[in-house]
Amino acid sequence: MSLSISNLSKTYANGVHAIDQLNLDMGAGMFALLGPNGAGKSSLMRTIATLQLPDTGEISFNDIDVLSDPMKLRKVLGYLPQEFGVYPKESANNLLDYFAILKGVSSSKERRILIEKVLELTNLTDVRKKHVSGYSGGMKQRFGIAQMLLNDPKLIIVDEPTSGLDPAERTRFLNILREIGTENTVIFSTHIVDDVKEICNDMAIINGGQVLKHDTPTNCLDEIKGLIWLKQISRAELEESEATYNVLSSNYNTDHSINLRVHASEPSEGFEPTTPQLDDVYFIALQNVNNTHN
Amino acid sequence: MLSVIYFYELKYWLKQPTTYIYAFIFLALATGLMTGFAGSFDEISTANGPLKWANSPINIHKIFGLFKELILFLLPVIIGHSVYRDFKSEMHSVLYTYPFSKASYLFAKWLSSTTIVILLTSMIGLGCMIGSILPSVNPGLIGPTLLSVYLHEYLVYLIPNVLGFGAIIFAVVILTRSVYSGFVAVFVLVALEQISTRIFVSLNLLDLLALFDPFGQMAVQYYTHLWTVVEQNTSSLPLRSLIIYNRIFWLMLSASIFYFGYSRFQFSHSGSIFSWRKSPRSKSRKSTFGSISKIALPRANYQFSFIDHLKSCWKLSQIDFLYIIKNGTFMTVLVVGFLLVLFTLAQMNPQYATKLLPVSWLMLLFPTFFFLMVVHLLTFLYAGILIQRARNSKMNQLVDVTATPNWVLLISKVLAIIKMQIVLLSLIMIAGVLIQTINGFFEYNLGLYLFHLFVINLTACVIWAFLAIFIQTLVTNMYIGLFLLILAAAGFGELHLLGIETDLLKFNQNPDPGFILSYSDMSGYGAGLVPYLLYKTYWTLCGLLLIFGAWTLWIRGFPGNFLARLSIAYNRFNRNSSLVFALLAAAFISMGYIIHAGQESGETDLSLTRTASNDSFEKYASLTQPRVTDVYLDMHIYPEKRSFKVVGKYTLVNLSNISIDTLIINYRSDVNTTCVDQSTVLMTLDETKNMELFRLATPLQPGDSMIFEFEVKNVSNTLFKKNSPIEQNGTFLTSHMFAPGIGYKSDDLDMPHPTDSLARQNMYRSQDADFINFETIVSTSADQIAIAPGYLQKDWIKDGRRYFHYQSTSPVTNDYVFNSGTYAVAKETWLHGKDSVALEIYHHPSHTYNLDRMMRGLKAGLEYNSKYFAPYQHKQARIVEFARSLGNYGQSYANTLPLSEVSFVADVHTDQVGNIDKLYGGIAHEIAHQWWGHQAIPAGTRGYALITESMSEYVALQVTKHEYGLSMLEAYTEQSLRTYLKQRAKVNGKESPLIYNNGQDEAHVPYQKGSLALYALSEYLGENHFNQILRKYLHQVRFKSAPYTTSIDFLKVLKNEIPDSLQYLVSDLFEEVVLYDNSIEEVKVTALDDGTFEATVDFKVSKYNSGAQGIRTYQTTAAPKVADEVMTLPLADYIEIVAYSSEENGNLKIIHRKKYKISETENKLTLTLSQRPSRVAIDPEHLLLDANLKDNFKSL
Repeated sequence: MSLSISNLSKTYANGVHAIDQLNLDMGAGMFALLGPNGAGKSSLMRTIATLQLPDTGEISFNDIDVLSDPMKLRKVLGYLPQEFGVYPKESANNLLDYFAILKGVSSSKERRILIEKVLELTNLTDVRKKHVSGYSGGMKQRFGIAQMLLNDPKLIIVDEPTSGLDPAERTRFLNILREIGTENTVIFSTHIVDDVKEICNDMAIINGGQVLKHDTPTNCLDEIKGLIWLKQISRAELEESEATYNVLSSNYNTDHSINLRVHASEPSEGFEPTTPQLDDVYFIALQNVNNTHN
Repeated sequence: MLSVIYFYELKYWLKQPTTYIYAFIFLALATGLMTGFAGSFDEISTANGPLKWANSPINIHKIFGLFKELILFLLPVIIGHSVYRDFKSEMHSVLYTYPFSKASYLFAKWLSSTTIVILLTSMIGLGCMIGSILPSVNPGLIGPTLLSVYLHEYLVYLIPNVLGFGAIIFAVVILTRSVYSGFVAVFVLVALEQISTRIFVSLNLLDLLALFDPFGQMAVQYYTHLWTVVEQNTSSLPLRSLIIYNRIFWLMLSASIFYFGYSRFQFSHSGSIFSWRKSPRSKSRKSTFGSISKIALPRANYQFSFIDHLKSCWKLSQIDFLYIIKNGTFMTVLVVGFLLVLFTLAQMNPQYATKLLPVSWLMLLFPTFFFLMVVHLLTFLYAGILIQRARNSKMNQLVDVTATPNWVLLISKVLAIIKMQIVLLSLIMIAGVLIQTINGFFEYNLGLYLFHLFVINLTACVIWAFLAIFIQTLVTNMYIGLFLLILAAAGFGELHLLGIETDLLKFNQNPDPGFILSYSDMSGYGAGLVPYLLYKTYWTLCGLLLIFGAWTLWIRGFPGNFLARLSIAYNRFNRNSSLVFALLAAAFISMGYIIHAGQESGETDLSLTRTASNDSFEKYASLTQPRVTDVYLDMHIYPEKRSFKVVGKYTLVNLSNISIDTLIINYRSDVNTTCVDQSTVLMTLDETKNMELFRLATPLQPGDSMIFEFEVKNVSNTLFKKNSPIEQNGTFLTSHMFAPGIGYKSDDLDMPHPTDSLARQNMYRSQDADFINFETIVSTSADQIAIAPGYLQKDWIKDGRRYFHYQSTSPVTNDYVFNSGTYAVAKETWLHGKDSVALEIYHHPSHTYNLDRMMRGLKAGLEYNSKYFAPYQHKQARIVEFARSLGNYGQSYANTLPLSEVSFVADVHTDQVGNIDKLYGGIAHEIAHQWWGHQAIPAGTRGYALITESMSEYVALQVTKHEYGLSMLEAYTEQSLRTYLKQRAKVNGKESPLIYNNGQDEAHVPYQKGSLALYALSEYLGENHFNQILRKYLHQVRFKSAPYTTSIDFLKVLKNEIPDSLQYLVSDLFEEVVLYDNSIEEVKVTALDDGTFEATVDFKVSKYNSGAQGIRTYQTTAAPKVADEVMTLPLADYIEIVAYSSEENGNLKIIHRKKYKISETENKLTLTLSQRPSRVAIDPEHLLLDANLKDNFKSL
């Protein structure tokens, strides 16, 4: 079970280099794609999901050459775009039946059993006769999972699935994903670092269409052990501190003081060591690029 | 705030490329139309009187009228879309929280989009102006360009229409928050217009029609429909009361609808009528969060074989199809369309003079005309909706990553559209059967319904569906796609305007522009079916190529810009798809070749090998030729092959006093004629296209006779062209279609003047014979009966064919007819004194509906003519039915009256005021020709139809009056008068007087005007007295051959017999073109003490000379000088004033009826009446030709 991407490039008609000589390999399990808005995550995922053709490069999944035989990949592909809609005024049942036909389940009996099961898994059985267009955000995302499961996919691609979900929905959603991810390859993009920490066994940080860092979350954290320092400062000191230190992030406390996280090999005055978090990994990766560009 | 939004919106629209596309199309179309009207694409000679200017006010109005549908289409697309845009993009949830008022938001939206539409429509005016000054136009067809004309058009019609209907559409869209309901509103509006037009026309309420026509066009027509060319060119559009009221009515109506929409509109998230959110969660229970369950999916078989793809196709199409038919828009259109079909069917008179029974072919005839346009429109619309459906609801990514190939998705959409078309077409069948049932007519021809709707019509619809799918895939903006498709549907038929003639380039068109695939109970679809189906096969192949094109352009995922799509399309040509493409293209091209070759092929028409123009024979025009005295024909009719062959023998006699050594034979077109006996006719001396000059073997001495033998065959039929009038059943073949003639025959359609003594040597229907002895043996297939003039001597069957031997016992005119069909025969006998006449009707077995009425008409005609004029010359009278594909008229030959199938399914009612039994009258008319045409035989000169048609139609009027009474007669004469006036307007008022008309291109003169004139005389003189005059004339000329009688002879008799006081009538009616303009101005009624009533009637009488060109003057040759201010020709006319009272049951009863001698225009009359009058009328019998009937009575 492995997806391999090599030398992938895509430039849009408006001149944007969405993907730039990108190489990436991943095996079974949950793979997180991290990156700021506009980093090229969605472009990459669409390209893997056969929705657009790259200018150059190769993608293969197991023995499938994705670019030359997209239909073969589609048979084992589950894809949930960042934003999707459904035909208005259609019930979950009807829509799932529609997708099941599209996904090649030709027996209506099998479709019925399959749909019952995916509805149950996504906890939509009660509302299966309601119009999906009227679902709440979480229900709609679960519907997205339900339709995705219909073809028993081996490669699952989900683009920022948890944004906009309430904590309970988010947990539930991630649980399902994780469950699928035990045997299959699940790629999911997010900018919520917590998502990654909880369930991912591999991750990549990308920006500008390139991979900045590719490692397991544990390794990433180990790498910066003892290099993250914390200091509480007042609002007035912020600008000066930012100029002085290699600040990764800063956030308010309830008393208007500010927590400053700094990446450095040696502590400066007033700093205390703190446990590294994935956020730190993410910011460091982005910083490195900025520094090299400077 | 209003102006801020207004200008923001304007900028938005001006930034849209679509705006410029629409503008360009309007401009180009208007320019093209104007140059087309101005003769850029065809040759128009300036010889025939005044020409219609292409840019006259009325024609500009017509051109604007042609844009009606396109402008209506813009209303939802621009005005509706301006608000819908905000709902669709969900921008409204943000927008509506901004600090502006509802008024400024809505008015700004409406005004800005209306401004854009008006700007777009200004392209029409601009296009017209450009078109009229292009160098290619014919300057004779262009008048001065007047800005005021355009201003008038915009200010009175276009801008009010856009404001009003735009406001209605706007209101509908803001209420429903759906732009589709805007389209439905447009559709409802057009349907309402259609329905109201039909209702008002059928009830003859033209003023109400003018008042309520949504677009004001009928109001204009109300005032202008009788305009002559000169008036059309020079008069500006009228701005009279009905037009003004019409405009006010519709503006008020739309204002109130707009107000309703405006007041109900609220700045809220969901619409006020329909909400797209299903009522919120009944019990939204959130359970078992965080529980982790094993994902174990049941095993399913994922099938991707070709067969499975086909199955998916079907299932997906079912889903799309259900989506279409469950949709509110579709249901509305369906219901309104169904009602419209029902309504059209319930009406169904317009095309024929007589209403027809609801036979199945008729049920299919009318609705398909309008309803097919609805089907096409929905096809165009839903092709766009289905193809954009996934993208519009943002589900496309989910669909595009499934393992379903593009072609499955594409074909499923095509199938869904076809299923929709089948549903729509079924409506016609349901409505048809319903109407038949309601009318108690149970002879449903279900096979015909199914074949016509689902083979003939559906193929045409499917081909449009192919184009629609292609265009909507190519153009990703549904509205532009729709617009292009509407343009294409309207445009392909009009390609000839641009000089494109070959029909192989006219998408989905029929074999030729005049092609009508009409069904006959007798002959089915006839020879047109095969070419129709071949053409549809050709276009289906073209459509499949388009579908292939759509497949290559199909959008999957995010293909990028159009260039990228093209490169993807190119890459989709792999081995398999290239093979499919090559096969389709090869089939398409070879089909095109087959059609092209098929049209060119066929046996050569011999006349085409002779090339010289007929003019070169004019020098032989005066050559003395023998006359035909006997005709013997061996006629072979082959119904199954739609062919015939005839071997004939003429006996030619030299009636002159000089020896004849050359013979001219003139041939009929579309047949191949050969001279059989080469011993009499030696050699060809000279020839033209249709004539050949022979040297005779032995010169024919005065008084001697010779036999001329010939053989005639029709030019053989091809797949595409039938070259004979033979049908599989119901053949109608006249001598004019095949029999060769003797002597020079002029091409000149214009007839010689009645004083031309040379022309008087020949009768009106034959140039080479006077009376002939006629004998024929006609054979046809064994199951058919063949009929020819004369009496049946014998019939027998030989070699599987049936033979009939007919012979005339007394000489007949050299003009005969053959009929053949599987007939049933109805027989009766008419006894007249000692004589008995056998009456027979040969009819299609199921056409028994009107046999009794026909028999009565036949008897009435025989009775009336023999009572007043002369005895019937035959012992038999036969009516023979022929297929409607050969015409819908009747004709009269010696003892034989061929009559179209249409008359046999006439649905005649006589129980209501205003009903006319045209069938009864029509049969009497045809039999009257046995006197008027066969006893009195006019020369082939101008005015001949006065002796034939006017007299026969006069008899029809009289027998109708005797059978059904005065009220039907008045309805009949009114209809005749209206027909006359309408036809007169069509030929722009050009008219020759009755005694000089040539009857060909102005049939309304001898038929309608002639019969009215004769009837008027019979009323002024008394029927008996007048018929004595006719009798006197008939006996003077009865069975007289050369010199044949003319209209002048008749006029002489008339003038001799008529009292001086009525001589003016003879000259007005027969020698001039005189019309009246009479009116009842005012009626005052006072009750007198003795219980009687006194009515003072003010009425106007004016008559004028309309002249040959339709220009009104007040002088004639008889009265050359008259002062213009009098506005009438000198009057000494007898004019009838009639007063009616109402009876209890609502009928009118005549209480006063008298002819007054009138010499002034302004008249006042005091009547003493026994009852209170409810209506006073001037000339209700229409004895005078009054061009304006509306003011001829006053209801009190």
